[in-house]
Amino acid sequence: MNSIIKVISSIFLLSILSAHQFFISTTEIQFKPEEQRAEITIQVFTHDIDLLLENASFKTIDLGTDKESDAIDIFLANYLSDNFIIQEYRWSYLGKEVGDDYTAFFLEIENFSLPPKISILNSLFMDLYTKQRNIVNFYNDKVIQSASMTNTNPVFSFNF
Amino acid sequence: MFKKIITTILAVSFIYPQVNVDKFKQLSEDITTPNTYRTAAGYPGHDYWQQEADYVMNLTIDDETQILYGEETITFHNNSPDQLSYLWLQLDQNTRALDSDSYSTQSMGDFGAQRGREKTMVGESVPLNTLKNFYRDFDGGFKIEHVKDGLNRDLPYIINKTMMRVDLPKALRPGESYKFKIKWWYNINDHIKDGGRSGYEYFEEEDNYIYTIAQFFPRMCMYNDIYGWQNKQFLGRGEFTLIFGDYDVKITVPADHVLGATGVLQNPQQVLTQDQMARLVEAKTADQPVKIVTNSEALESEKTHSEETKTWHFRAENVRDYGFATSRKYLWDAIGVDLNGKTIMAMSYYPNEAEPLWGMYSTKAVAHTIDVYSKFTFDYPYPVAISAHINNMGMEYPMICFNGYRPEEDGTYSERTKKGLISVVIHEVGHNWFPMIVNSDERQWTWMDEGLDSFVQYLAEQEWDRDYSSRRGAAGSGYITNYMKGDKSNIMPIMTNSESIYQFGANAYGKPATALNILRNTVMGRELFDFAFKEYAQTWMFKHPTPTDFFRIMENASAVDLDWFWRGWFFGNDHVDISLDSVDWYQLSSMNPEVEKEAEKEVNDSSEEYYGRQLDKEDIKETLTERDPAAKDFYDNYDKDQITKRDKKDYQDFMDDLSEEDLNVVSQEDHFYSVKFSDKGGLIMPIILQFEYEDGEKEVIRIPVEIWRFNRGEVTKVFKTEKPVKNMTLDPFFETADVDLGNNHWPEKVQPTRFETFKSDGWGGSKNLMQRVLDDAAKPDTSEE
Repeated sequence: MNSIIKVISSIFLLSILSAHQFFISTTEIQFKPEEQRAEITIQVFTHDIDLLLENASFKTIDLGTDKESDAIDIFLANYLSDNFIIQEYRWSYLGKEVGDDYTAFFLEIENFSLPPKISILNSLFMDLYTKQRNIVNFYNDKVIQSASMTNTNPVFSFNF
Repeated sequence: MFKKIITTILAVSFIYPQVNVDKFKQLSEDITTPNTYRTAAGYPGHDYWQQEADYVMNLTIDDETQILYGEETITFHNNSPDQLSYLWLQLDQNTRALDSDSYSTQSMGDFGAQRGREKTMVGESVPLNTLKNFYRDFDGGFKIEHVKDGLNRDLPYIINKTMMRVDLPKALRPGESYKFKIKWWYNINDHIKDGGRSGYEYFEEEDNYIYTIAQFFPRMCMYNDIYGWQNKQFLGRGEFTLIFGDYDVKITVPADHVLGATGVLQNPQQVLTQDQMARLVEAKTADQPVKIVTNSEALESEKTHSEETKTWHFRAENVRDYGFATSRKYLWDAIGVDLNGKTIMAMSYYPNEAEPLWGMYSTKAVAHTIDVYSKFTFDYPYPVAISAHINNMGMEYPMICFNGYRPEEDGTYSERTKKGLISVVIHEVGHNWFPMIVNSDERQWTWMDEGLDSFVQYLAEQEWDRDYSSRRGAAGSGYITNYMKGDKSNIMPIMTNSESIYQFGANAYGKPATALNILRNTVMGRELFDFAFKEYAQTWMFKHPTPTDFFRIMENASAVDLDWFWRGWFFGNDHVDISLDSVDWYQLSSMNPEVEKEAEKEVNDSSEEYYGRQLDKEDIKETLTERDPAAKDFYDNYDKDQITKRDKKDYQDFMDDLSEEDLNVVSQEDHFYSVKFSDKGGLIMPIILQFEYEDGEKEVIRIPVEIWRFNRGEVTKVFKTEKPVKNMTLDPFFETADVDLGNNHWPEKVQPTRFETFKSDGWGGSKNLMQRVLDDAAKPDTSEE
């Protein structure tokens, strides 16, 4: 697929390595009212996952391949549950897709109805980089509310 | 008279306040005014000038103490039309001085701008590294021993943190040059611990160092026609504003070191062995990189520390900076790149820890970069290009860059690591073009070098391997679109620049590079774009362009009005979201009553009857005309659908009156589709529409962006087709960075989200990991291990 999106992919990756780096993750939360469910997709740089795993003494060479050990998923699911918290809701970790540049995590909350106010903590990678910024886009049907969390403000409350 | 005109103008502007934002408004008010230094066409003007400074340096690295000692003679050429009574120099190492602003302006845990080494106080426990910062005792910063003039008399100077002002005894007049000398030393920093753009890496087991040295000397600040002296404090995050000059540098290091630097080696006989010189000659014409220092030679070298020293002498012409890398651990390989008859040496320096990855790819990536970047801009004008290894780095200097990426200890590496290395080498070597040679101000306009380099880097990657950008699993989709469509208060337009505003790196890299790709593929087309881009690069080679010059020259060289594009992508923070709202189908009336009346009857018969009338059929038993036939006349008996002689005659008359041309139009069986588009995102794009016909064939129509010119966010266009259309897709080849593909189809298509795709890929439904693992555990063990 030769799209403009792929252009951006490669460009985003290289910038990690040069002296001018940037630190972002983007999360999409889709609320499906008919199904009473929330679908969450968290997109991060694979490079950051590598670092996280290396710091925890995992070997990352098999990440995203058939040889990847289950321990990695368990570790990542635990990391996410410590750093991505939706107030009063427990999400299930469905899995991830690992690409050369990006990794996407898929989480789900069943029996989810939209409360008037919901607070979300997103402190992913803030223990690695002070400049980390996590963008969260919350879709209530077509209406989008978005937040950007930093280490001084890792929590945001969405109002509906 | 004059006063009257002014009053009128003011009155008029008051009566017609600007309500609508004109996306096509020309940029003239937002960019700098043309003058004799920079023309309206984006070229250097007839009075264009730039300052230059030459350096003659003697440097020594003490391998025992990790101190760099230096002495330099600077010759500063005042090519400006102004008199200068003082000179500003930058002392970048002073960001590491104990009393540095960089420390006091950083929040806790900000130290070490390098990935993976920062810690912050989130949570109840405090990482040790953060506490270590309280006990920071690294005595960084320049220790200036003297500043003297050409006759060895002391010069008055004052240091303001990272800036030094030297006061001239006599003002320097336009056209004059001034020579002065500085002696200094400083402690080289531990790059791995402290991060930054230079420093050493220490290998404890063998007590050996890799040194990658840059920003190591007091150097001239920029003085130009835009803002005078660029003397804003260097806080570590912004980059460099530097002027061109010639460098003559002598570097003294331990005799068993292998050293790579900016420039051409002047004394190979003194510092290289016979073998090394012979291998270099071989490398010039070889097909594959040739090892100048082999793996085993480097390994041997690591074992002992030579007590003696060697002095390497280099000369570099027309460079804006200087860097070098040295270590006894270094391997060295090289290959000659033939560029239109000239041979450029592409070389790499790396320790055994970086093998086999670096041996395989580093020098090849350097050579590839030289080929591709030269093709799109201008032939690489320098004699060498070097990639030198140190862990966790990616930084560029003229002719040399420092790069990280290492395999595992057992020598294996993932595909990610391999691609990572190739990409970083291309990017860093690419910086030779932007900003080393096309010397834009990195501090003011980060995007002018990062964005442009990233863009050409992408082109170079596509030429390395067709599948370079193919992704297994997660695609990059979502990143830039999520970034662009989210909370706008987080997104600063690319052209707003201030070091105090948090600038997403995406603004310097991703957005400009994306914009340039769209410009190349979709808006301008490759032929026009490539010519204009090359024109820009060649015009500003060895000069200092500003964004205004870039915008102007791209337009002037292509005859494509791009103000709307620059305005949208660079001056605003809108995103692209064009939607295909509705489609109405029409067909031309043939005017032939035999056809039309039949068609009309069909339409009438098939359309639903008014409900009231349906009820009347039941309720009204008998109407008057049914009861009393004498009340009926011609009109009651007349069949409106019948084709009369009169109709036929009217038609014949009509046809006889038609010209050839008219006949042609009327006799067609074409279909007309009226399609309505709306601009939901604010960032307008050309409309690219694909028709798929009932017979399966496809056709793509491209409408220039000017269609949005007179319409407030909505456009209706009628298309004529010979065959009926089955469906339509807007932006079928994903060219425009449209954030929402869900509204790009007719008939409406529900786009599955990535989430839905992931789930439907037979993952197992909504079971969580726990369940999956338990399920797997319950299955009989059929693995081969």
